[in-house]
Amino acid sequence: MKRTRIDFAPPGLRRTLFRAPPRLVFFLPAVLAVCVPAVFMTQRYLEQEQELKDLQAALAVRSAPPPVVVAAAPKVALAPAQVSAVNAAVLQLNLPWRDLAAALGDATPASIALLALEPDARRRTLRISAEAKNSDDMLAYVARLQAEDWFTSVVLMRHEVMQEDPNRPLRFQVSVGWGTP
Amino acid sequence: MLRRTIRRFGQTLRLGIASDGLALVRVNRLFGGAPVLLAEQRLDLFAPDALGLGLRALFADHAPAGWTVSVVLADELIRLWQVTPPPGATRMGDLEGAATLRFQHLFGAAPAEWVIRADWDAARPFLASAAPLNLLDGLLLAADAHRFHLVELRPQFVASLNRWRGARRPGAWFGQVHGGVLSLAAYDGAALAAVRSSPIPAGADRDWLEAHVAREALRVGVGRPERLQLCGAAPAAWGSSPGRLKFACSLFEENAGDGWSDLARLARTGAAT
Repeated sequence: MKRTRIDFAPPGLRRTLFRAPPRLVFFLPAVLAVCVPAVFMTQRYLEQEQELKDLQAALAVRSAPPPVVVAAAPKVALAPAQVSAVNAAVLQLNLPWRDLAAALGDATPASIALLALEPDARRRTLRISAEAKNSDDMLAYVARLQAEDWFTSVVLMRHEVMQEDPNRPLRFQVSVGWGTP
Repeated sequence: MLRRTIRRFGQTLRLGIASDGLALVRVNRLFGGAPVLLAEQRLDLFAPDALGLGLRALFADHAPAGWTVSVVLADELIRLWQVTPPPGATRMGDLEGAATLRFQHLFGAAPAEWVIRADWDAARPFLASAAPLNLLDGLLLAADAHRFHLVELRPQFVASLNRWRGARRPGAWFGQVHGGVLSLAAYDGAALAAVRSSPIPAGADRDWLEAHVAREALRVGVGRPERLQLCGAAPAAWGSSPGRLKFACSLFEENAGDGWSDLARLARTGAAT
C-alpha cells in the first residue's frame, strides 16, 4: 500500500532528510567511498583538461603560419586642381544622360532643330542651342520644356534672327535645370 | 557536542498531543528497540495557553533542544474526511477547492481557522485532514522556544496507516482502536471509500464488531470486506480466522495494552515497536 502523504510539519531540509529511509545511513560509507575519490578524480581530470587546452593553444601559436602582411597601397598625392578635375569628370560620368535624353526627346517637336547641348554637371544645368522657323515655335518649345516634370527651371537666355540665312531662322539658347535624381 | 550527536545517532522524539494531555517518547529509528516513555503531562488542551505551559512542564526534565521531533495529533483534535476529486480536475486548485468545500459541508467550520492537508490525487478519492490553525501555530512557537526541529506532524490515524502500510492487504479495511474509539478506513477495492470513527461500547465482542462493520459498509455503500486489519489496543477476542465468521480480522498489535497509557501509545503511534 502506498504512503499517505499528509503532514502538517513545515517543509525544510530536516523534514526531507527525516523522510528518507533510516537504513540509507548504512550505505553512507559506501557512497562516500565512491564519491570522495570521484570528486578528486574529477578535479584532476579538469586540471589535466585545462593543461591540455593550454598546451594546444601554445602549439597552435607556435605552428601557425606568419601573418600575411598586406602592403598598404601607396598614397598618391594630387594637386587641388587635379582633384577638382577628377571630381568634375566623375560628375560628368554620373550625368543622367538617359533621363535627360528621354525628357528632351519628349519635349522637342519636329519644328525645332537642336544644334548643341552643353551640360554642366556641377550646376545641374543644360544649355540647349536650337533653331526654329519663327518665334511662335520657339515660345511653344520653351512652354513644352517647362511642362516637363524632369526639368525644374527653363530660362530663355538669348535669341536672334539669322539674317544671312535665306530662310531667316530664329536661333535661340535655353538653359534648363534638373533636380536631384 | 560530538558525543551528544553520537549518543543521539538515529534517535528521535515523538510527541503525542491529545485533548487531555501530552506524552513524550524516545525512539531509535536506526537500530529499532523498544520506545522509551520519557514524560507525560495531563492537561486540558482547550484552556488558555495550555499547550505552551504543558510543553514547558513536559520538557522540564528532557530538554528537546537540537532533537528532531515527530508530533502525533490525536484524532479528536483534527478532522479526517475523504474527498472525491472533481471530474476533469487539472489543477491543484481544483483539488484544494473540492477538499475545502467538502470540509465545510461535513463539519460546518470556517476553513480560515483550519489548515487542510491531503494525500492529493486527481484520479482517485483521497484522504484529507484539517488541523486547527492555533494548535499548529502554538507548536511552531514551541519549536522555536525549545529549539527542536519539527520534522513530522501527522494525525494519529494517518501515522497508523503509514506504520502498517507494508502489512496491509489490498482490499482489506483498516482500523485503529485508541481511547475507546474505533476508526475505520473503508476501502472499495483499492480505493479509499470513507473514514469513520465510532465509540466502542463496554463489552463489545466479535459479534458487535461484525455488526458494526456491516453497518458501516451499508452506510458507505460498499461491499462488506473479506478482511479487517486492526492496530492499537483492540480486544484479543476480535482477532480470528474467517471460518464460519463473516470476515477475517487480524490484529497488528497483540500486546498493545502492555501497560502504556493512551497518551503514551498516542505518542508512539507510527514508530516501529
